[in-house]
Amino acid sequence: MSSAYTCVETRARAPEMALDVLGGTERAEALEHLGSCAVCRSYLAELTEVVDALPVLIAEADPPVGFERRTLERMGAAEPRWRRRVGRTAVALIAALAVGAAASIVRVVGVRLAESEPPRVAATVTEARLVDRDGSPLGSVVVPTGSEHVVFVALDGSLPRGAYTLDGRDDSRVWSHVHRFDVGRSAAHFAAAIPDSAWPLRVVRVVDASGSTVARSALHPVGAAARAG
Amino acid sequence: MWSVSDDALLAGLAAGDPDAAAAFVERFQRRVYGLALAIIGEPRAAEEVAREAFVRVWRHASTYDPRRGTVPTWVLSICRSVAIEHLALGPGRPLDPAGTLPADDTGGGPEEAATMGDDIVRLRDALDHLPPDERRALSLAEFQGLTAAEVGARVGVPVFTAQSRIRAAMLRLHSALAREGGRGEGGRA
Repeated sequence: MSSAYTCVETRARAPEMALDVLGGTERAEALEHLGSCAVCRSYLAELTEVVDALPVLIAEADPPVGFERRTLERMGAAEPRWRRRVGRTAVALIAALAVGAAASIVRVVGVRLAESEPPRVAATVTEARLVDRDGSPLGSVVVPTGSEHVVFVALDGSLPRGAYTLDGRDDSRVWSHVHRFDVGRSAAHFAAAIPDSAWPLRVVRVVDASGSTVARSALHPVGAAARAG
Repeated sequence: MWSVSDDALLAGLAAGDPDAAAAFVERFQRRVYGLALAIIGEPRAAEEVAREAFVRVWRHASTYDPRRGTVPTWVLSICRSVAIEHLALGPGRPLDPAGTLPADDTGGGPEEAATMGDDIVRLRDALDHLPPDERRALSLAEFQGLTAAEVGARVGVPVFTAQSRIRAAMLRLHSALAREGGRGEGGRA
């Protein structure tokens, strides 16, 4: 039988929880209380903000010569193969899709287009609107036709905040997990690899944290060449 | 020249854009490396920690939630976590991290200071007024990930005393930020 803390007991331990240095039983008891007390959760969130803010006060320092190059090389080495090949295409595609999407994304692309050769997207794509149960649009889905099995998704910000998964399937009835994503206060966009079990991709769905399908899209090849910029 | 916001740069990073990645690293490298060096205390290991922090930021860029803090705050919190992991797995922690928490006007680049405004000023002021024992206990917990028991063992005081110091320090900083109507828009501090 569990004996979760009271508000007073939980608040006493909240500083160590925020610092992530509270262990074992105490943490478990406090977490149980937090699960049902919004006031204490809010208090813990405020203390966590203090913890997160302290590193901002640390003095900057010049990294060793070559740090930036080595860091980018590491990021490139860690990058999935499909992402290395389609990175620029992803930005262009998302820009093309992002009607009503975050202005910040458009600004990023705008800088790119102003500085370099306009990127080209895949010659042939499959695209569709992502809609909710009532048929209202929530965003767009694009799948370039080619050797790379990738799906690009741009959400227009209509989905409530929270964690979601994108599932996909081919002509069979079996769904495969494609990608997990979080929706914040702004529009979301992402690219994800399509597993072999869902290829060729025909239908995608967005599932919320409770397991409910909140959006769906049936993909239809459009065939036409698309070009951004 | 990248003149876009931190959020926009992070969006480009999440989309896999190499130019955005380069601009992102360039913008944050001094802050990330500075934090890693302050925690680790050794340049070579600090570089490794800072580099790993950037890789994690890149990998998780699409999960960034602006409701939980600014981009710099988020990036530095990741760096802090990586550094603490490094210390936990490494040969040992620095003997005296009392200087990790800044005094006076160190830290927080001009952009960050402009963004955080009053919050950073109040936080820094509150830090300057912490009793030395509380400041050290907080620094050990915040930047080395030590529990109250470990802090007590490190500084030679009972667990209860270490716990009290950590909690008191946190409450003072929290009160300082809560003053005058709470937090600023950009600070989330």
